[in-house]
Amino acid sequence: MRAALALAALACSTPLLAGAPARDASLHALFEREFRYGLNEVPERATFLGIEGFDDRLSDRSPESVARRKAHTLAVIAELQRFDPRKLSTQDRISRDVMLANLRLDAEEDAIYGDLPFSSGHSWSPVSSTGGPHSFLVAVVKATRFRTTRDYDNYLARLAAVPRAIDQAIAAMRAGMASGWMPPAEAMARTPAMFDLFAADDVKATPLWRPFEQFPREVPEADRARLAQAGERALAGQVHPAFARLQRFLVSEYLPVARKSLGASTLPDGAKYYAVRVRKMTTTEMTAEEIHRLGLAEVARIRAEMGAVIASTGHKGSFAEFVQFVNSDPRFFFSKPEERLAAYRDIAKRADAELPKLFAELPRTPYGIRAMEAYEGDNADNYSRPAIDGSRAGFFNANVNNLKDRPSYEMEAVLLHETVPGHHLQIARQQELSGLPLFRRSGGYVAYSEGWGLYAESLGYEMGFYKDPYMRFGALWAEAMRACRLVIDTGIHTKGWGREQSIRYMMDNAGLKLGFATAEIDRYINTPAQALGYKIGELRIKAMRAKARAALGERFDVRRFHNAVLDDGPLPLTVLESRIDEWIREQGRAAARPGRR
Amino acid sequence: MRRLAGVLLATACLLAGAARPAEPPPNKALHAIFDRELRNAYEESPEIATYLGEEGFDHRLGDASAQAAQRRRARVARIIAELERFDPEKLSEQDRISREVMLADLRIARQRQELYGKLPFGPRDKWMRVSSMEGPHLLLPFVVKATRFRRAADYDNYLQRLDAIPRRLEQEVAAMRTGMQSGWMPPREAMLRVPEMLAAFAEGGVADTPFWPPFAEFPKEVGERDRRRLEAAGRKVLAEKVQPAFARLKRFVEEEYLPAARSDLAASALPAGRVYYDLLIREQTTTDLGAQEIHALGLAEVSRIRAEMDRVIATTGFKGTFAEFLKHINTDPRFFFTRPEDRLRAYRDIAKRADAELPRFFAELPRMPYGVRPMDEHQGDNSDHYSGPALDGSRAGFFFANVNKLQNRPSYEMETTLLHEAVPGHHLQIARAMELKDLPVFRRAGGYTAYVEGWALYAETLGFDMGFFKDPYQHFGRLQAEMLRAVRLVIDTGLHAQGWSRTRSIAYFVDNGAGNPDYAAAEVDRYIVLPAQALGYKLGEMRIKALREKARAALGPRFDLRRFHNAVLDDGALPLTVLEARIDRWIASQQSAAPRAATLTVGGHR
Repeated sequence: MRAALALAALACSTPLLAGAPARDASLHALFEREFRYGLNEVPERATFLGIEGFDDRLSDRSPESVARRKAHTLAVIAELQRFDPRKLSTQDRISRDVMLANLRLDAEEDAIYGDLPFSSGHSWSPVSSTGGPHSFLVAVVKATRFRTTRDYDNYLARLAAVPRAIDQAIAAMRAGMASGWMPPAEAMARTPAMFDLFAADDVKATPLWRPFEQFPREVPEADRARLAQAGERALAGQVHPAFARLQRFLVSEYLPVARKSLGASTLPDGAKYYAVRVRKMTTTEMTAEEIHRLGLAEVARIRAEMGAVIASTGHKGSFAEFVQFVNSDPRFFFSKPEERLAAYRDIAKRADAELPKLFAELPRTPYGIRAMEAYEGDNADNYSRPAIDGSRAGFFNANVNNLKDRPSYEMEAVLLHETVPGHHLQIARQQELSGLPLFRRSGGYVAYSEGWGLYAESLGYEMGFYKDPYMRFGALWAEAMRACRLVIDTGIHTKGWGREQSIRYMMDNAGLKLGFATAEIDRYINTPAQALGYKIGELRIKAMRAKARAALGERFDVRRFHNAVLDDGPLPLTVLESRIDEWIREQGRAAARPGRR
Repeated sequence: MRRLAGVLLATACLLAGAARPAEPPPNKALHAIFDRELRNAYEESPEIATYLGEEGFDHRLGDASAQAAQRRRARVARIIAELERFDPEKLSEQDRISREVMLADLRIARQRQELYGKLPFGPRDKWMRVSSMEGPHLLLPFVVKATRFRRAADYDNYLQRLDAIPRRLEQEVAAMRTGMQSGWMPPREAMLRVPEMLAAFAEGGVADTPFWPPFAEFPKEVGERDRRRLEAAGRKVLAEKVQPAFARLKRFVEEEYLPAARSDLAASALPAGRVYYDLLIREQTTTDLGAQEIHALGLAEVSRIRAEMDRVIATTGFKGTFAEFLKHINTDPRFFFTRPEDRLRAYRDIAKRADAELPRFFAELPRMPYGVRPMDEHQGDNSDHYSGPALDGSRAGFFFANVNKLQNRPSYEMETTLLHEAVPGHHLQIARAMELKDLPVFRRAGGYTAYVEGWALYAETLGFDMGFFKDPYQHFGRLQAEMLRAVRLVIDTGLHAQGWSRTRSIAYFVDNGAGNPDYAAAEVDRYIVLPAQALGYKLGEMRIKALREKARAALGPRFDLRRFHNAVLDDGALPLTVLEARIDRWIASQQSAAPRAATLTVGGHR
């Protein structure tokens, strides 16, 4: 109460402060309007953020809706341009820059599609081996809060919207067939089988049914039977038949006309399309050629380190033999899912305790570790964000299926990446930055977020991890994979690399197994440039740290540096760099004033 | 949403405007007293400064002489007078609480002093200087662990502190002699293990004493030359001063003090009679309950929990007697780990499951994380415990799990223990208190057994809604932990106010399933040595539960458990009577508050 009053007093008196410009009310009105607009357009986002009032809907991707969104993007750009950045406070200026940069990249991509029903937010490739409406829906269900009868009624309404969403996806794919926006056949072969479970007669085998299996106390006994029956009806009568339609469409119409070439540059206006994607995913001005060369250098460096670590284990054979060994020797594998889960929790608890040494101020929201569902098969370990109001923890969803394919040497690096000091720490901190507009508290960039995740892996060395040489190999293995991506993604999309060539390169240089390497390459084919952000982001953050340390010498405080990187929320890397430059200057000045920090 | 935010801000501004004349700013003179008293506490007990990470005191030990005790006694009356001069009506709410809390502590201290007449004793200057629960042999190793060894200067400070040990031990002996002359003597039971405990400090090689570890491993920052010098100096002071001083203390205990110990057990047999125990009850429970009431409360709780135990046993399908069940769960190999790292991993597994549930139970959590570490092997059978974070946020909190002698550590107790020691128990409460930066340090770092341990026992009960205790044995483990705290009410009051014997106490403990006979003996000895200390756990928990029920009944659909928990935690540790008044005011504020707005606007408010 006292804190609230103090805050209020502060908020009320802010305009009276002389000097720095006040928070621009009309700019913030725009931010709030846009945030709300985004939730209305993509109500699933609200569910992920734990914001009430949107859980009964799915987003609309009708051609009219796509056209409306494109026009909206241009209108908001014009609106933002009318604000004079010189008259804004530092944070308002950053917010404006960031929103403008995002919208301009969106507009640039939108322009490529002309009048086609695609946009930066409406992919021309809604189904690929990397994902589709089924996996998206599952993620939504996992984030949905089932507390009351009303939550269930919302969910039923959302399920009822699934057929429309799927038919719209099919319509979009038909538009792609007509206009040449088609995915490569090679990467699409596995897609129809992904829908087997979701198109099956048994509607109780997918996570879409899961909420009806166990009701919370607050849902009265009297409602439960009705809700479960309605759920079964919706799934059997609407949802599963829609997925069956999608599956039939893929097999009989779409896949037969998929394109034969791999590279994005063979798409209509392909070279420009890939260049825009690269800018969007790296948030730098780097060209494909520069990225390719950077990748080659990183691969060579990491590969040499891997050689040294392998030698330290006493292994005598080749790199390939070592890879074979660590992927088959029983000592690297768990036999029970709960053992692997407990081992992850063990690493997590060791990591938690080290955080105060690396961060001046930590987020409040904790995270948990839960097992992925059996049906999720070989999906990658992943992270689900907390509710933005702090009412739901973040979760690391650990894959504990097919244990013979999951060696233990990767676990320390994975945990550090997905939870702390990686994604969870960054995202929880971001969401708690209550002084920033909501779009900055909830948004993200691949290069920043994944760059941070990979940088967080590298912090493991300072946190007492990777002492075991195999864990150390696992850290390098994960890093090498991200370096290979720079080479392969640009190779496929600008240099005519083939699928086999790419898979081979990944296996030889990062030591991935065939199945994993194949899935990785298909991902780069399906989502051009997305995989570039990891390594580029990490290298930039490391460079900023080295720069700050060199500039500040003894005064460099790594705890504060990390907060400086995190405390504006995700930024394009170019903006982050100028922010860190400012921070370095501030720290230099602060140190000149004894007794002040 | 925008409109809503606008309305909220406007309302807040209105409130702030309206409230400002009514809510005075922090009182500078009052805070000057708080600061001065904190400084004085560091001066008088430099060990506390070390523990809190406050620099500048690590080279000293507190003065335990009669003269120093009299100086501290005189100060109590002075500060009471000073604080009484502030008009609580004119203070802000938090200042009022701070004053009230400090005054309450001081007034109890004054009452304790009055019991001792002119003797140099008080709540800090105990007459029982050495026992199996307290004394320099327990305090000093703890101080060593809290000391930061970063550079040569830290070691030089440490050498000075070691050099001060002989004088300190002489002061303790002098106080014990005063006790012998005036009848303030412990029961024999409390002292029997003491000579053996002191032997570890008095005999053998210096490298085997608990003071040696800092010299066994130096940080990078200490150079080779310094290392040699410091190690040699450490060896010398330990061999020539510290060990002989402990040997003298040991001889005194064996030859003079122990033979003069009293043969009865009850605190009421001491010179001040029953008044002394009653005062200890007030001090430890921070309530006005009498020994009789507590005893009756304990009996009722014991029989309630005992019935629950029977129900849980029935769900396991076990067919024998209660005693047979206890034997079964303490011997069947399935309840025991064989490797220390497995038990540690199982604790971390529970910890991570608990972490994920916290947002459903708290509106605002502390930032500070905690780790789970194994206890050192030499700590033998010491119980699992928690060690708090650094006040400045630079070091995490730690749950130290005992993974020694695994055949004595059944797994069914683990969920309960973790919830108690880590989250939502001690770590969560203590980290939250430390982060309440607007409060004076004595409230951020202070504690009351009834509040702190009551909270931790209450935290155990939250396990049910957090998804724990699904396994009937873990459920039984929780009941056993609760039973332990319930029998304490009966036995402590039995021993000190109703003439219970040690044998009867142990039998009562064992028969009700609170633990096996060895554990029972250790526990009962603890109650004998520290009268009333063990009462706080159960009484604190019951009060917090009662407050929750009261709030739920009063607020109906407006009751928000997450906010209730923050209301209990967000003033730091309080005497239970003060906490009750705070929760009453919180209930009133919730009644008058507008119905809660959409979720998004909740974050950031308390």
